Amino acid sequence: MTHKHIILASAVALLMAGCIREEAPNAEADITCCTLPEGYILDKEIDYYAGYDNTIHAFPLDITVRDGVGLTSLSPCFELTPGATIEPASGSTHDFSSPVRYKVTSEDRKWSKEYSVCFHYRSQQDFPLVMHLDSAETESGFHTFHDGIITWCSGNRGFRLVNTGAAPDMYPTVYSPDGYSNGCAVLTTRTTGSLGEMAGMPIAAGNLFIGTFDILNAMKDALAATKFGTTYTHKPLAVEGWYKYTPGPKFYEDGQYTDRVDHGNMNAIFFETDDNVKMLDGHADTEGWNHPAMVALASMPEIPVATEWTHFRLEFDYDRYGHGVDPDKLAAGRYSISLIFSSSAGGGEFEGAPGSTLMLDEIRIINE
Amino acid sequence: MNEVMKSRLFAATIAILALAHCAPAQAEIHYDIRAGIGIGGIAPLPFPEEIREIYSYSPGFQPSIQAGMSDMLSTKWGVRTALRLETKGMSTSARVKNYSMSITGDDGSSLYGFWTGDVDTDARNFLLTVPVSAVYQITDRLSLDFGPYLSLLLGGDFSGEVSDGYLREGSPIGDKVVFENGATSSYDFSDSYSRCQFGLSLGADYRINDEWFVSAALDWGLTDVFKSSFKTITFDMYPICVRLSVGYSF
Repeated sequence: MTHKHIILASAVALLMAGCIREEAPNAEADITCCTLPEGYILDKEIDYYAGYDNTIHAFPLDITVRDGVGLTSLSPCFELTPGATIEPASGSTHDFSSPVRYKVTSEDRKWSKEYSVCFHYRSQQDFPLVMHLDSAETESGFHTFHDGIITWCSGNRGFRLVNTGAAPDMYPTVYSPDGYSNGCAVLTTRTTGSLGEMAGMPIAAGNLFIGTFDILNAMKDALAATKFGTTYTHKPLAVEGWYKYTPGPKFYEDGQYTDRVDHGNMNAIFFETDDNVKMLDGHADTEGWNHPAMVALASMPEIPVATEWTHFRLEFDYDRYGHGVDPDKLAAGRYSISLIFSSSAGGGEFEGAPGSTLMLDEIRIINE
Repeated sequence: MNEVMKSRLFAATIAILALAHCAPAQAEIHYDIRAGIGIGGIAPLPFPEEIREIYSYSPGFQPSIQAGMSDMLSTKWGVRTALRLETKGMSTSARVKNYSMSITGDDGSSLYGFWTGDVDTDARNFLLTVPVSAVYQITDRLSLDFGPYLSLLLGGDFSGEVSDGYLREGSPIGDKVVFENGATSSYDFSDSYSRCQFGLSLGADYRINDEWFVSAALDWGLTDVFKSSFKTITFDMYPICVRLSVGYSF
């Protein structure tokens, strides 16, 4: 380019810079933080970006508080998207014996989000004895399983980003009525299309786990998006249930199909939490569950082919870590548990055979 | 460039060369050819409030060749028309807020939402343009021309990448997905260009000697470069450029 061109181009650039208009008011309407007086909240991590819940017609905000906190008169304070407003007001006092609805309106007044804010005691959060996987809601276009107080998580919410038009039963994790007993979960390894490839995630293993799916991280660090764990106040000894497993025909790895035979896996983890370690994520899985917070692991690293419903029992191995279980910490809710199932064991690294199918039903945790 | 576009370009080049070749030396009708480069871009007017900062702008190399004829109806006034083969385009890098965006894959799948973060854009149009203008002779050496033009799109590209920001899926209250640490996604709206463009052009020719002259013109597009059915970019985009040329008269 000659000097003349550079001068002209600079003039155009300057002109364009001069054209920048005043910033528009924000269009987002999020609760980004919720606080109660010091020591009230027990939650290790609060999921502010949980998906819309069709059963309550609102975005859920579930927070666990210490036993003895009076639910009938709480005054939570909220931080919001800059400029957004909340109704009823942040800091106002309400009876949280049942969930209270708040409406957040964006700064530009064009968008609003209805939240259902629920404060509850951990003692209410007893695990169901058996997780039947008998009912699933279609939320945001895919199936989500609820078993008592447990809402099973999956990578479906991430799959949706790259396959917005997929029918609910084309997701990696779906409900089926053909269970061992009533309904069941069907986990299928799927290809993700060109958008998934672009994001470096060419396949999506069907998965089912107890924890949260952090949609914020879904594109930048998929392993960090699957967060495992919920507070558990019993010492688990084993996990039992029923499964079927069929590997897909062609194994996908490093951009090509190979003759490797796929296998699913199951892991149940029991780990200690503190201020630094609140949940474990998919990285702990790909690193072989060697995280220092681990207390016990119950694992079936290679699920054998099973075309009929087959019983499984995974024993928790405490010896591997040698940490023992402190009864005081157990009672204080310092331990967490998660059950993690995947239709392709290499799913975290985006290896697996599309079509691999793991069916699960009637899952039970055996405690000491 | 696809095969259809190549053949169109070829045909248009032949037509221009033929027109130039046929030029007989006559008293009133003058024939000329000119070659030039364009500096400009495809821009929304006024800038929408979604655009927060322009990090960089490059006009790229936008050549044009033109064969024209002018008829001086009097000593002062005349009319001119031409056939011009040209490219218009730019590369920009900008920061946007709440910008309607559709991330696209090559199998046609897409993810629509509202993007806050960085957007890089490469835009290019290959055009066959027919201008018609009134010419006013100011002095022996200097003339002005002004008139409309019609451009036929032979091919084009409007694509780029988003990075370092987040997408709200579907609407500003949809799922929030962060793209950071080198996570990027591409978009491609090349198929959504309108086939025709219409605009106004104001130019000046300065004669160096009997044969050679230099010329500067401002082309101002008046129609959106995208089809009206294309809704992802919520504002109209207009091609605007300055063309600098060297010409030869017969």
